[in-house]
Amino acid sequence: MFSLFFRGLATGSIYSLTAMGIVLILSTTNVMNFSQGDMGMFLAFIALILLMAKIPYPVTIIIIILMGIFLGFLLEKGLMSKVRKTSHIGMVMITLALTMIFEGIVGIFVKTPTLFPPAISGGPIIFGTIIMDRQDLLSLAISLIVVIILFLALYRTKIGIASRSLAEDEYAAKLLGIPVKNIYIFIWAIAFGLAGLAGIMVAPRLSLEPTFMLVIQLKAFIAAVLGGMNSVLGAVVGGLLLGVVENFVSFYIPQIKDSFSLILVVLVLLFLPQGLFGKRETRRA
Amino acid sequence: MKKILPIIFLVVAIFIPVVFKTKPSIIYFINLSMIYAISAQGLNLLMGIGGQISLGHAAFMAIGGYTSAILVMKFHTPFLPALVAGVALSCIFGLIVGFPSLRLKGFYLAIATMALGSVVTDVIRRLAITGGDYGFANISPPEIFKFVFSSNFSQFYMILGFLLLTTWLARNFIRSKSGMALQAMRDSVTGAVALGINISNYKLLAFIISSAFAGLAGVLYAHSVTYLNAFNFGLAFSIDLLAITIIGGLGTLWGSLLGAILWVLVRNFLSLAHFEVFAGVIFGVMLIIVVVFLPRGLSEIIIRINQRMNRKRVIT
Amino acid sequence: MLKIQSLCTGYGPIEVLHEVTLEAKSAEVVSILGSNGAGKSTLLKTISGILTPTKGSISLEDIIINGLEPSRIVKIGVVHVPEGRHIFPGLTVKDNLLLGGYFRDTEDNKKNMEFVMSTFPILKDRLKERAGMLSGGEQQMLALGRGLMGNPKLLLLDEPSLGLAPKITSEIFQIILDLAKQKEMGVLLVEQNAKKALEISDRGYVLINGRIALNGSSDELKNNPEVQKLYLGGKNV
Repeated sequence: MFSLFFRGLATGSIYSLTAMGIVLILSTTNVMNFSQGDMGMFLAFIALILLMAKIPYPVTIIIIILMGIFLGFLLEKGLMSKVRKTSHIGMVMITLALTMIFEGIVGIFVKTPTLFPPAISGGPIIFGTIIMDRQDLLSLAISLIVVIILFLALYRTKIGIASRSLAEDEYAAKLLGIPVKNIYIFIWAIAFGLAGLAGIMVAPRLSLEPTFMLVIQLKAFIAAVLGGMNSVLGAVVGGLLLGVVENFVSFYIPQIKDSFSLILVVLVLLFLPQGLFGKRETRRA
Repeated sequence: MKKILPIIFLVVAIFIPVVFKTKPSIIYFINLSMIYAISAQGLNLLMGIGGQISLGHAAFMAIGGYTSAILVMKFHTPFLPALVAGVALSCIFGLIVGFPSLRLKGFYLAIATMALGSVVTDVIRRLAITGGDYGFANISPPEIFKFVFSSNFSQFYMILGFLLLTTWLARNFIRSKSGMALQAMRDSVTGAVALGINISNYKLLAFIISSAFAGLAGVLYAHSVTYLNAFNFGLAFSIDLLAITIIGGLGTLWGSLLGAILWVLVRNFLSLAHFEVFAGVIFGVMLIIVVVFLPRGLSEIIIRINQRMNRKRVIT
Repeated sequence: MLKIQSLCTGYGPIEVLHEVTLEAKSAEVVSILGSNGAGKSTLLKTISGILTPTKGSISLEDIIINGLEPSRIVKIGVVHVPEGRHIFPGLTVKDNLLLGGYFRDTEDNKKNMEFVMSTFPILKDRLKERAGMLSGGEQQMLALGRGLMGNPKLLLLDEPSLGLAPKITSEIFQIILDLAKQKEMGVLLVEQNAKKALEISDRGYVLINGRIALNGSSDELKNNPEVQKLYLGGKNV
């Protein structure tokens, strides 16, 4: 039983990382980032290349996160800032275009699902009846550290607090002269850094192929809705919750394993649209 | 005399199969473009005119296609009634998806349609009657009043007929009272409500019409490609349809056809050169170029040509 | 200190402000009166840079500020406290205040914080609470305090009395008056509550349909029969 819980938690932590990226971007820039998953996939692909070039695993992880941060910076500065003025929905289209591009690029090199080496090898850790996979343990630990760092950034640094203020009230933030452009760059960079981390943590469990993160992304969206799309804490809780519940459901009722979360999200959207932690927004007609 | 372009188009279109008579595969790809165009037109009406967003459009194609295929192959229903059934079932699902749209804001709706689209393809995959993961093969070609459209050649004209029909319907819809109401709603919900427009009804209408188009496209797809697999109608294809609609030109009448032609062209050109893997990248880049530089997509080109032609007329 | 010359602003094709000319000096409280839709908020938004004027000029101490980004205008010394307060409800009182001093260095911010807390002791008690938990009056004080953190030379106040009980309004208005004199700040006060506004202002302007219809000292305006009829309830103040 605890093994199920633990496994669910580990999977959920990946959902949480991805959902955090989505929520950060949505709450501050009002854009639905459909490329959150595929950016992780692309970075995982790069990671595989680095690993095959014998670059040590921890270094690879760091390089990937930094690459994600850099790509996020590039995207906002080079593309999004220009499109934002003319067409808001254009930004969403760009994220869709990115999915096509990333899947395309990786598809050129990866024709069949490729095995991705785990960060920690060795059998599962067993305490009596409790079985814990080492990779799961690692990914949970790293996710926890990252979440803590992120929250510290959002609550203790000037730009983090400014980001939250932008998410709460764009008009007031602009009036105070808060440098909105810098915040956009900050947020996109973080989001893609998170994407890279999620990608490399989960790639060993699924196999690397162009669409392997799409399922994760969908679940992350669901987790974000569950938690409340304006709340980063909600994204974390929603992700973990979804991971755990999903794992139990798929164990006891395997038939609805895939559809379960999909139906759940529709129900949540209809009856509890603000999620667990979100604010009740006035719904437009 | 703005009518000159469409007439040229029509004449060209009618003679295409004759020109390519020796290369049926080219006709096959043209047919596929037209089918995608019909589907994308539905999405175009929903997004461009209705201002709603849908990331599950491909699912409606699947519903239409599978319904018709099952009815014809397993229940020996004639083609036309099966077609109507396919479209009808799509519409029903369109209505079902339409209801959440009444309460959900833009991006929530995107997620809901994404989820619903996935649910549909999931369910289709599980049903034994659809052939599950192996897909549904050997679907028979359309047969109307004892005439079997078995060749790409004959199918071309049938599909062309449907394309013209749907384009005509789309045009009338855009100009109709409903179309106007939707556009008012798209631009300003408060304004529309103030004008006494019943938002809910029109939103549902938009979903029903767009799913009808997609369902029709699905039926045509099933009987010309003769193979269906739910896997192909998932989120990836929905996004592709979205790209086709945008690149062709959102809110324009012929954008869906332009986008679809480009789509099939690029894909097949690339596969000839064994570069089909680049298709996704090229399309993604095109989408970005359109978003940044060409708000009305490829239709921008047509619109500019039209404008220039009309200007000449005024001077002379 | 503030000089506005022939200002015109619009939303697209609709012009809201026509040829507005006004002035404000340091340590002076200037009221902007007018009914809803007269253009009062639009005027403030144009000064703070949210809107760009189509014609005319705005200058602060001879620095042209029309057409600049809001962040630059804030740095130059104009702070706009918007209608409806717009504090950040999920952030603490302290964070709200700190954001007001985003561009100032830590030393300045410390000093300004202390000043704000001595001016609004209630905020001092509630420093770690989430701003959304404060009452209307407290939120208005927070909004004001946040504005003061920017050490403004010119303070733009949009309807500070909105939704507040008369007692609190009087308190706040008194604080505004004291601040203006103490800190030698210019204050542009947009208010529906003309009576209270004129009580603390030195001068005033009346906006009707986007144009300056009247202007003068507060006493002149208070005794002006038109003003009395339209904004002061018709009684002799």
